[in-house]
Amino acid sequence: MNNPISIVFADDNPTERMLFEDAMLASREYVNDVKFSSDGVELLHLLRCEGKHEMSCPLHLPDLVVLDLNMPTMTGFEVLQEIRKDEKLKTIPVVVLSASDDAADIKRCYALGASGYIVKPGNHEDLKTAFLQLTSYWATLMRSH
Amino acid sequence: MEQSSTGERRLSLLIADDNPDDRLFRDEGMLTPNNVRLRIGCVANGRCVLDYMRGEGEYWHADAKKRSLPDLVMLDLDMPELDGMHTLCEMKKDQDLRDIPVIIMATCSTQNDIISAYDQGAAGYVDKPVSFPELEEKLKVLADCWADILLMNPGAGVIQEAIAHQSSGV
Repeated sequence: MNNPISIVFADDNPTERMLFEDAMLASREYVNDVKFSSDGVELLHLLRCEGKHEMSCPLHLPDLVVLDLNMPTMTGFEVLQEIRKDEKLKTIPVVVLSASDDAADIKRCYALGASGYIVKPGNHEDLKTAFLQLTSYWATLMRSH
Repeated sequence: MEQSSTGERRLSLLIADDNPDDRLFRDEGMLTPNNVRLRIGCVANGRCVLDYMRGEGEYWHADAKKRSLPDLVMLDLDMPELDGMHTLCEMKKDQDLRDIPVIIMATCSTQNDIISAYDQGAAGYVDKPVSFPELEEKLKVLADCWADILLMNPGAGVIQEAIAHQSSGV
């Protein structure tokens, strides 16, 4: 009924990336591809097929980007801004996954064009549940490209 | 989003659809699997959506500042008077309405429709199911996600009177 989606996570913390990968296993029904970027610059390279991703250009852009806010070299805010300015990338849904529940951060993300904002759940079971809901939500919606 | 004394959370949804068969929601709303009471208001076109939220026209409200705004808006793409895309654009230009998430729905859509909906700031685009029960099921998935994990923009639902007042005084 729903189309499985492809997701790219951008998070600089390797432990978090491992936890995300594990938590995503519970969402297999809704997901057909999961990739990880270690920071914002690498995420933009991956989406634009630049840098080390030059030779591995994906056939399709991901259906969803999940973005950490607090990253070195380029913050999540900056990455979001870059994606929304880029003619080829601007319609990719971007959901922010952050430890911050500060209203100013949430407002700023939406003002920059975030498609959603999630506060990172404190334990692994809740993370699994959150990913399951997020992926079933985006599998219900149609892809933009 | 509100929470009732029984712990049931409430999410309000305003749907604009010109097909009366797609507006058959029960008055008491529906309960999602995650215990969210989804209250649904239906209007027939985009003009009514804007009038309803602005307290204008047939929805004229004596005290426009006290009107309540929905948590989510769903717009059918193809409607008379004001279609879904134009309504979305109008909402995004309106300081009071721009922060409310809008989901566009359509029965048959082109790739361009989907791209331009996201480009205009739609929170999502959903393929309108053929049957009404399927539409209800989809709405439950969307409602649960907004109620459980997606945080609404803190600016949504706030009538911007104070801000407008401040900036006019500078």
